[in-house]
Amino acid sequence: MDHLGIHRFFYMGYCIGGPFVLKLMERAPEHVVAGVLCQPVGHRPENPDVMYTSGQEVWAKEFRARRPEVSMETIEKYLHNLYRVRPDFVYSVSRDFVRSCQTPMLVLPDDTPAHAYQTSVDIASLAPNAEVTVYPWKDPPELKARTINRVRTFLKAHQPVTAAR
Amino acid sequence: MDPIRRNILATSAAVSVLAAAPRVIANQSGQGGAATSFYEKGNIRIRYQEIGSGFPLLVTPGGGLNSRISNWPTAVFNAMEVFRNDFRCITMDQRKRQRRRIHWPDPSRRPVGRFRR
Repeated sequence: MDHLGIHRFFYMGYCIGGPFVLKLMERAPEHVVAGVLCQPVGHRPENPDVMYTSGQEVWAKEFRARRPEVSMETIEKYLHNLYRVRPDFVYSVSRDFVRSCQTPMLVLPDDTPAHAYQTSVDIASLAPNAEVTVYPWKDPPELKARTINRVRTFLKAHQPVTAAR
Repeated sequence: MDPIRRNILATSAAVSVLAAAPRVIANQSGQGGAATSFYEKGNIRIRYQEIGSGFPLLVTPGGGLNSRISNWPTAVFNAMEVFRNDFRCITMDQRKRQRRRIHWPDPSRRPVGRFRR
């Protein structure tokens, strides 16, 4: 975004993008005006290795086909650091950070093995300026359209008057 | 200084500057008419797309560690399409190391030492 000359922006992340949004809010709060977390991934205590295993079985296979010189041992260390070192919540930031984060955010929950519903509830409960949509919202189509429009309305409501970039 | 040697040094310096500076490779047309560009810095190459105008909205597609622009058509909704009339939408692949494949027809002419890739 620096390269594009953009100083302030909205950030919407799907799936693993949810933790990215929160991390950027932590590291560069001056840049993120508001965030949308769509079906964020999160830790499941009852199935703690779901992200690690999917990284190993899906991502690592494709990655090693492209980069055979990278050993499986290196990949396992990388996945370990991502998903096992801080096995809680959204992996990228702490609950304390979310509790203190003043940036407005909207959460669109999901409920799949990787997208833990509880994670969305926890984010929306902890963050002081968070909103959450209904769940489920993908069906029927009218509800999905309304949810998409809610994202649009949420973002426009937080658009700076000067639209400074 | 020998003019040939001076030219070689000047060319080398220009190549070094180009290699170190961030640069954008020319636009191409992507999904739904989005402009595709590549940001490069050192050995890092990141594809990104832009569409629409207005306040900037950065959107990261799903797909776990395989999050990339080509995942948008299968997303629950394609933010680049849905919000193109509202915001300046920007999306990108996740960072990957650039791999340069160079074919050397004559192996005896392949660069060695510090110039070898």
